[in-house]
Amino acid sequence: MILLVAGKTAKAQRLTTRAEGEVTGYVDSMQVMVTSPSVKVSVGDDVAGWSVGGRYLVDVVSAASVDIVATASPRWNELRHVGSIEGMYKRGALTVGAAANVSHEPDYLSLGAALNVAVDLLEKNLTPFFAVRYGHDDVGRRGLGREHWSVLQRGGAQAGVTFVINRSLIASVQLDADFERGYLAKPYRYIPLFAEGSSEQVAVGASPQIVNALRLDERPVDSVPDARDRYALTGRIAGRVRRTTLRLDERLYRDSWGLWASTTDARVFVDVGARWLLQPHLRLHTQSSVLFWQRAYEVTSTKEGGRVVPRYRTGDRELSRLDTLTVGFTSKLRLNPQAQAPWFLQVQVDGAYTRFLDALYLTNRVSLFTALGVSAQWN
Amino acid sequence: MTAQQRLVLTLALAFSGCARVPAYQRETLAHPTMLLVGMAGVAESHIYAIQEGASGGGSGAEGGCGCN
Repeated sequence: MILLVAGKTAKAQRLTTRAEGEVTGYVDSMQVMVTSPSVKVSVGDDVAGWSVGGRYLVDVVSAASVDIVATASPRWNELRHVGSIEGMYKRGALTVGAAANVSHEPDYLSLGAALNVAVDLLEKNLTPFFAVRYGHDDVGRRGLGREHWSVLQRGGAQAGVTFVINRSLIASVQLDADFERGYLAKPYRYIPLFAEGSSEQVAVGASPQIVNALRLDERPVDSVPDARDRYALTGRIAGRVRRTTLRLDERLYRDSWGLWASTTDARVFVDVGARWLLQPHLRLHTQSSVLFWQRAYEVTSTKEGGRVVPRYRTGDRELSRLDTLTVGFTSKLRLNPQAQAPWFLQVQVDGAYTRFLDALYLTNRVSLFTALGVSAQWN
Repeated sequence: MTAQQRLVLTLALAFSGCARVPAYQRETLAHPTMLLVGMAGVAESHIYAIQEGASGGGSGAEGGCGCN
């Protein structure tokens, strides 16, 4: 009996509870502001090899972007609720994980799930991993009945391998393939059209006044293909010397819309003191436009005197040629010395500059992302 | 050379420089900053998903861009 109670107590003492609260903020030169408080809790047993956890996040979005200014629409505010759960179980060399999430806002509902498996080989020197994921989104518009909403389905797979290079160097390579089918356009974006041969007058970054003066009366809604296949090859490497870790990620991306991109992300982790970790961060993203991108879409005339509107047209600047440089840092401070119940305070500040090389209304965007978080762990 | 042979050759070259490190020499590799997981948090990843036309390279389930 005493042994049984002692065993149960030992098991209870092995449990580790982690809790985290964070508030993030985003603001940019397009007058978009997002505030996102979130909480995360997880419980696990490191010895038995399992954990379960959940997260809840709210996005409070306020925007009056240049596109809205150009169409004389008022500033809008919106709430997005995101909930997710995840679990992990490790048995011998095999680790299995599962996650599910739901995201809800007045005009968008997204459900997603993922399953991943990893196998430790060669004394954990080689770890292949695989994952599959599926998502179902319902895309609507404010004031539009649910029966008129559109569906977007997302399926994807991931395969990769992590390998130890030497005692202080580790790397991984992974391939992601994601397939999107359904409504992929932006339902609130209306595209200005121009008469045949007049688009050359519409310069990069042309102001709303110039665009409104030159465009035709007709303004159709954003329209893109209803299928998109996306592939990403990602390499990661981390090396540690004394009190510093250098981490370098490179992602090469290509999709069936003709967009290619390169994203380089570098982070340095410096142990400034026994309880303070400083992490400078640099990210460079560069991409081409999709094949159907045009800064100014022209209508074409038919022999019968009619006008043909381009089948695919978009004003989504994230589908155009752009470069983004992000520079920032994260500071993580351990607030107390107790090993059994450590508390951490984390601050992150990232500034980004985006250069739009072939878009209307804007040639650049400056943004600031900040995060303030507190986390704790109890054994 | 077939595509399969090229793949085998590439993997062989990639892993040829790797040493087999036993468990008792993995102190540095066990440091939390050496974990090769996505470093961006949920909110930060969401910003990248909206600002960049590319995706992938992370892990887990994503959803609800909140940007329509």
